[in-house]
This record gives sequence, structure tokens and C-alpha cells, in this order.
Amino acid sequence: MVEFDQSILGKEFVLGTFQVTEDMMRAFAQAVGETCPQYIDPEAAQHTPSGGLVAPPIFYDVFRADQLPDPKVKFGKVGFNAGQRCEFYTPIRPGDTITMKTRITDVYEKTGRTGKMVFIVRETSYENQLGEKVAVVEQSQVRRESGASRD
Amino acid sequence: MDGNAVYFEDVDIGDEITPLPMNPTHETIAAYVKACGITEKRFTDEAYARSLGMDGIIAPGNMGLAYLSRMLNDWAQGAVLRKLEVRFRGFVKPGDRLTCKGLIVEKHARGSANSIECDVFIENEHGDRPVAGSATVLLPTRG
Repeated sequence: MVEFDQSILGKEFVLGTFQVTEDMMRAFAQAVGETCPQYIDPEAAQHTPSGGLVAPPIFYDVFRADQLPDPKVKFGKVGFNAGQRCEFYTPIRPGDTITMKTRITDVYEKTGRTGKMVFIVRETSYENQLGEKVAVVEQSQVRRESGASRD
Repeated sequence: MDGNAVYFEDVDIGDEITPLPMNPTHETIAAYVKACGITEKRFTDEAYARSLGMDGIIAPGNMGLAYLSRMLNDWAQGAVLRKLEVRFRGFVKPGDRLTCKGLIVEKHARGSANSIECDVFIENEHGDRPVAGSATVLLPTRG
């Protein structure tokens, strides 16, 4: 079995609390070319079902921790994103305060046709100032012996 | 862009989501990286990316998800993305000519929460799909 710090499994870490501004939302929407009024136009957004400006679902990607809990996997050089499952709940609005928490739910190894791989699964949750769930993201990171190739 | 109203009653299994072109460049990747405050250099620094054994810089995985999400809302403005699940099977690189595509594979009528399940993927000009998965989308109901 792959060697790692077992004691970290399932432990919840608060990664940070973030203030959301309209500028952050606009920069993100522009970077992916959003054109829908609920994401880019505060005036027009009032006449959409969201009733005001909201962030596009993947906006959660702007919340970043300086350091993620590290399971200290003794394998591979660098990790790549293998897959992701995102669930979206209450939309993010300007002025929200988002709390980001994460836990490592699984570390396992698998042998594919390119050799041995180690997967690290993290579940990260995002909650607003009212305690409402905003998004839950399960990300699976793969580490390979030899670096950067994908299947 | 003006609202494309797409209602649950109007769609069928087998319907295609309007495709969305995705043509990542160094500039669009840098804009995404900046908007998200990403500090990892492998998305912006060619030499550093090569030092990791890669051919060059790649786009962050979430950038592809953001385009898939955009495709769904451009197609149906009142749509609410509930779930998006993907596997990353290849890298998205600057200069790639990609298209986000989707296909309705299930319809679920549940009173006020009518939803569709879609296969969604990002495809290159050779038919390879570096990003592929599924989405659950809530659609408004007529009347």
C-alpha cells in the first residue's frame, strides 16, 4: 500500500473565509466570456429568476487556500486533477462571506496501463454567512511515478 | 445576450445542447488564472511547465468546467446547474480548437424541480475529449 499520513483522513480543516465583491464576480465572468445578464449586468439581473447579480457556478474556484492539508503521499512528483464532482446550491451574491472547509476522504492506489497511480480525494464545501450551503466539490487528484502523462 | 427561454416541456431525450466553441490562448488562460488568484506557475510559465515534464502550459481543469457551465446557460438562460461531474482525460492547451457539447440523456419531472441529465464534454478537432462527464440541470416549467 502507498505510504501516507493516515491520521489526516476525514479530518475537517477550515481553509479560509472570503469576502465576495462585485469586482471579483465580474473578473471571473469576463475571463470565461459569460454573456448571461444574471452574471454580468447588475441592472438586468434584477429581471432574471435570480433577482439580482449572482456568480457563475464555477466561481468557487476563486477561493483558494494558502496551504491544503497534505496527506504526505510518498509517491510521484506532481499531482494532476483527475476528475471532479461539483454540486451547486444557494448562488453566491456580491457581499457574501464564504467559508471554505475541506477534508481528505480517500487515498488509494490503482495500476493502469501507464503504471501505478495514487489518487487523493478531497471534499471541499463552501458555505455563506447565513450558513447556507453554496457548493460542494469532490476533487480527485492523481499522482504518477513519471510526471505528466494522462491515459 | 437576450434570454433564450428553454422550458422543461420543450426538450426531449436526444436533444443537443447548443455547442460552445472554446479556443484557449495564453491570454485567456492568463485571464482565468488571474481572476481566480491561481499562483501555480504551471498554467502561465512555459519553462516551469516543461520542468514538470509537460509539453508546455495547460489550462486549469476548472476553466473547462466554467465553459461547460457557460454552454448550458447560453443554451437556456433560466437553467440552473445543480451538478457537474467530469473526468479529465487529457490536457487543454493554448491553441487547441475545442467545442463544448452536450446531449440530453434523461428527463425527470419532479413537480417544481424538473431536471434533465446531460452528457457533456469538451471535444477537439480530432474527436478526442479531454474533459467528459455529466450535468444535472433544473429547467423552468411553462405556465
